[in-house]
Amino acid sequence: MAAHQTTRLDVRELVAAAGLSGHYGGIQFAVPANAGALDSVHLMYDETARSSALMEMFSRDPAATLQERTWAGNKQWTTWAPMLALRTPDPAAGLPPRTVLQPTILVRNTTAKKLSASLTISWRGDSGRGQAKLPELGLAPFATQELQIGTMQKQLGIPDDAHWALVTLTSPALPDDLMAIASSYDASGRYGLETRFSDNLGGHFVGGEWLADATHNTLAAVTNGGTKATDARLTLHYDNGQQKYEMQQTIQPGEQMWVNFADLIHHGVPDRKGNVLPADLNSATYDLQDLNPSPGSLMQGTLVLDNVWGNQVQPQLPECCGFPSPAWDPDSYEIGVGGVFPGYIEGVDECNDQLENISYDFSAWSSKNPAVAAVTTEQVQGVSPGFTTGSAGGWVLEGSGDICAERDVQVSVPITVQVPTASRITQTLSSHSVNSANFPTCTGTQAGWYRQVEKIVTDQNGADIVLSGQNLSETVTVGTPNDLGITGTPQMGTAVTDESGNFDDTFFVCSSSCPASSGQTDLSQTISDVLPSGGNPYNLSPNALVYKCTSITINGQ
Amino acid sequence: MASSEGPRFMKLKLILLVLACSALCTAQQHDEKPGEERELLVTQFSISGVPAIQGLLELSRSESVPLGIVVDGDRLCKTQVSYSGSNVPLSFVVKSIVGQVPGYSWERAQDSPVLLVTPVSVRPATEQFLNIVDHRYGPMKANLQTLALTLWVHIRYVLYPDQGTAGSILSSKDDREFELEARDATVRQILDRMAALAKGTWVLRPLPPTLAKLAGDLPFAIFSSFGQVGSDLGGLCSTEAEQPARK
Repeated sequence: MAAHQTTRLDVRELVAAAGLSGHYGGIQFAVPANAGALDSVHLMYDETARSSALMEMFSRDPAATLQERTWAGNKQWTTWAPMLALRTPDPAAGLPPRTVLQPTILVRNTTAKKLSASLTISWRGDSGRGQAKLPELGLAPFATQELQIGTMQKQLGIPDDAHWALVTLTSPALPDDLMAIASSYDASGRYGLETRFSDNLGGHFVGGEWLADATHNTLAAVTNGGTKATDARLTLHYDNGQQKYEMQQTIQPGEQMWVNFADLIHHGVPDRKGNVLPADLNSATYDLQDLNPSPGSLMQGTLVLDNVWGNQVQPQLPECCGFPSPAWDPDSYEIGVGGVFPGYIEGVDECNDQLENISYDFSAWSSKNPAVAAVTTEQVQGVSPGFTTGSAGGWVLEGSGDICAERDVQVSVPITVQVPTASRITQTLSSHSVNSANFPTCTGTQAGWYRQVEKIVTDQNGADIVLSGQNLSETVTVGTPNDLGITGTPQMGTAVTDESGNFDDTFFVCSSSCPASSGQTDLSQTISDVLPSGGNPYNLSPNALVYKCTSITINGQ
Repeated sequence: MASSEGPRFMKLKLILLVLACSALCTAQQHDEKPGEERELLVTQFSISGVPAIQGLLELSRSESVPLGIVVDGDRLCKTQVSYSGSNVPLSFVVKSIVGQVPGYSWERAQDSPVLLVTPVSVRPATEQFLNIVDHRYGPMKANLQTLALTLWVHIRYVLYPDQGTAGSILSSKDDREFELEARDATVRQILDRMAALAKGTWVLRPLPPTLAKLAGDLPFAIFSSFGQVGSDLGGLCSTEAEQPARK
């Protein structure tokens, strides 16, 4: 095909030219490259019944793996059709009275191998709910099989007053080796509803719009396709996004949360916060969130119904919200030997720009050099001084329009294991002269200087060690000159660093030579640091203290 | 210089001591008066084969009661004691522990809630040290380490007015601060105040025969859940707080 070219194909002519018989089958076209540049639309129309339908066509990636497309506890590739209309239509569908539908499922094997599939129908209706399992399907290469669900309903134990079914197709095949569609039309082909098979489980979807006006209504089903119960929150947005209406429900595996948009409005059904939708509301957008850890196990199906024509308005499919660029939080580590710090993998939800912890999606946590730092699930521990890289590997949900797929992702973080090496002043808290009158440290005729500073321990690279629980002690010795006649140098207690790694150090001098003397006494201070993990103390580089009657400096500061 | 002036100075201090004890000390103003409070009942306390001083510190810590201990010689540090009892008065527990240490006794301080554990015969230097009067302490609001260091600076000034003191106090950002002010109070009274405020124990290490030989390091320690000031137990038990001999 030339650039921007459109080609029209007549299926009737193709079937005749090929000499094919039968009344159903499948179509596929394949391109060796640039598949994303091609799109197709398949229309069917019946002039007699004066009806038409947009036939489903699916993209198929032969290289897709099971892991990319299957999660939430499902072991085999699984696809769901969430809203199959059964023989007796739901009055909410707005079809003419006494319409009888012919629910049908078509399953096509797109490969040259024989494939099998299991189909389960979970029905719901006026008299209750139930489940029926269809006989195992065996599909020859490229074969299409039709299942007339309508004629099988009685045999499957599905009562006449059942209106809807969730169809679950499971197969040991690879994703999209099997294609399936489900539709329900009356015998004339005039009235009907379709539901799309999809394997798109996710944790967050956005979409719209839902209609509920004089000629339309919207029905929606939220399906839990996982193997564990989950909490779903469906939020409707209206009034230009200024208002919202929230529904929240725990959904068991294989179960659904059903929503009739018009009923919510007209019956004034309160949401979880007691809000009701305005009586004159006729449209809304929505987002659906799985409140349990990602990647999520929810699927959203919608039918927007046209009450005048008795068919459905093809709804826009919901946008699958993925996390395109996961990263470590924090984005680097400077930790001490034995220090244990949490580490998370976070991603930005591409639909709402919110940062979320998606560590749950990561199962392989490792360190490039475990002798320097140990990296385990959501945790980094310093082992010995040095530098290494921590990694986390997992499968992260990536949205591409309405398609959810998981991508194999590796994210890494630099880790420096710090050695307590020195200390530095972060700020001076107080600095002033002292005597018996203005400050009680000195007494009698002695006077001197007082300075309180906040400090932090630094590492071999001069970087701050932001680590709480370091136990610090000190020794102070008098050197020369000793013009202030210092003979007593008590070393006092210990300090424990706070969560910012900070501690205080208070220096003072009281001397009978002060305040007159311009001389100085030099001292040396050595601080020992025992890390929270224990072990031998680290002796930090000595600090040169200069005490004068009018100042106290530490390493010239 | 210090040794030649010492005796004359001590005499002066002893005279001040009499005045101090006859005056109403500021230090007493906020203390609980003995006898006015019901004695603490120790619900459950048990130690087995530990040095007596360690047992007393454990009692102070577990019951949050203020103690004052004078260490002289090594008996308090080396005598192993045991005790186990429940629902008994605090003084009974102290008496039971101290009773196992030859040459030691206990008494209730006359002017504070502190229980004092001292040798039966207190050496003169120890008496002199505890009775040194600080005419003006505070007012100040500081952590325990600063309070103790300030007292030590003042003591050094009384003992060696010509010698300076300089140092450094490491402290944690979240250290608890206490308010303390005292006028004409003895060292023992101020230590009692600190122990009462911190619900801890002050311990005076063995002193040299004369205070003139006192070294620059703190001769006392304070143990409390709010922090430790001065030497640890090993340091308190092993050496005298004596200044190295000058050449």
